[in-house]
Amino acid sequence: MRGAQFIVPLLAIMLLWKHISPILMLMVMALLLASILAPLVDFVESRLGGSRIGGVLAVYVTIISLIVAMASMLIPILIEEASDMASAFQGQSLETLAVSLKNSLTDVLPPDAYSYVEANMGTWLAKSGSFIQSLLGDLAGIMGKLFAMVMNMVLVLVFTFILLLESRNFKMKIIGAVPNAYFEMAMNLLHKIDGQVSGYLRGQGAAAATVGVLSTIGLYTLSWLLGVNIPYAFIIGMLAGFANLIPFIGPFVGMVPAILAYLMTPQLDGISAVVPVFIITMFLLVQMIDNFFVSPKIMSASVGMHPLVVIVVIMVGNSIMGPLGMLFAVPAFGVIRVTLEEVVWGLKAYHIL
Amino acid sequence: MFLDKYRSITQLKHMRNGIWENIFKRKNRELSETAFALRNVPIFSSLSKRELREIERLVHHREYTSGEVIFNHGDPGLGMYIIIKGTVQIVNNQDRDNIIVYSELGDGDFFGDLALVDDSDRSATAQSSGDTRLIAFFRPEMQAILTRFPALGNKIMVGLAEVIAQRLRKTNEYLIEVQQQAAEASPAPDSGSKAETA
Repeated sequence: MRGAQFIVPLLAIMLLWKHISPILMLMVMALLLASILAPLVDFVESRLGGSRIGGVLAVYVTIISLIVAMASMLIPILIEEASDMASAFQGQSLETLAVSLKNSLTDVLPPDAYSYVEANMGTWLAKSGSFIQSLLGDLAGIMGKLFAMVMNMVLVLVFTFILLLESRNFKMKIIGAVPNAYFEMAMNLLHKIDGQVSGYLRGQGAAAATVGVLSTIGLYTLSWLLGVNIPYAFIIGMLAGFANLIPFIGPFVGMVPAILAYLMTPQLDGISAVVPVFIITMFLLVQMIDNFFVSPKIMSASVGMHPLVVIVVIMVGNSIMGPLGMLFAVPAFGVIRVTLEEVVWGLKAYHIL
Repeated sequence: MFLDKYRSITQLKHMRNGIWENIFKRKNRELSETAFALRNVPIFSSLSKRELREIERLVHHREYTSGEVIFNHGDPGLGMYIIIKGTVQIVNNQDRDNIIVYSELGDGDFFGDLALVDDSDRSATAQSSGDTRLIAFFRPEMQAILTRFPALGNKIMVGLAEVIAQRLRKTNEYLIEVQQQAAEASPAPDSGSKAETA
């Protein structure tokens, strides 16, 4: 019975869902990573005369070497910025930070806006305090989570390695199980979905990297040109890059911390209202470069989403996985949408719908 | 008549005489059934054993029972099929009451090869008549070969171009033949008056 080979594993998955869902999540991540790396592995494989294992190993060694090289260059900057941040906050409660921010804002904001900020500062402070508390938890918890994260990353890399090596056999097995009536449709869909999803993910990754690098360069350039101190430029730039995965909201995620960092840092010539305007302009410029020059060239699929859809998706992501879910909800939704679009196309093209 | 010519082209096989058959007997024995079937298709006939094994890894094996549809008229074309064993009918079944059988293909024949070039809709329905074993080679795999092994991809494309060129040549010959037959059957309307004036 052909159906049994689908029903039995499906029932087993439903019964053991609680135990296997974390592993499934890692496998999904590995699947996404494999679909990003596959074209690179294919290219290297062809250069190595058709050795798949050689291609996969070469890509892995190159990527790991690049990560190690970048980490050895960037981690000292990150540690320096993080320790600067820690010493800036050391001995200061959120209240004292708020007072220094309020003092800075008196020079920058018009009186009406300032009185609004002053009136609401208490509420914002309470909210941000509880948010930070929930985010950090206790140190032991953080260390445990860090260890689990590293282990998960290693597992994802192992899964990705196997997927890259065996992807053709897996595909053959999946296609082999499809009934004759849907064979061509399944094959066509699998190919189209694979192309669209990997194109979408590569596009998102490239856009995030572009925004991250340009924002960091922009902040350093502003500091140098205006002769002001905008600290934590590297961390803020990276944050802006990651946040770019979230449309509409992402750009502000980099902009706001950059302005706050400037306002909360003692400046030689005092706080100037012009600098935040320059910071905003710089982030808008980065967004324009991304939207007009980078994304249209690299995005293979139409991924325009209504703002309302984005907000709902982010809320769903938050309820499922917390802050990390907020970050990856939109790309995950993008992948699901592209897949569904192709399935609908397939059903129509093969006269099933 | 046209369909017979079409069939003769799709059945193109390498002519081998007894001596050559003998010399290559040992080599042929080393080839699997799939690789052997592939080598007998003009598109893949120029491929080395190593290259045939590469293609062998990419083809799909399917089994059909009598009357099962392989692809329908109007479906987006995806690739070609080679018959390992059995019979496949190429039919026009748009009118359910009047099904026209264009061609009946047997062991070693291939069909659907134009879909390796583009995704135009299938121009006819293919269905098995009797238990049939097929191997399928699809455009995504063809494109992957062109990217990963350009030399091998080029060989296949040249083979495909040769098959299409030969088919076009035969079609042209057939058209000329039909035109000549039509001309002989009905003399030119003004030929009589021309003769009179001469």
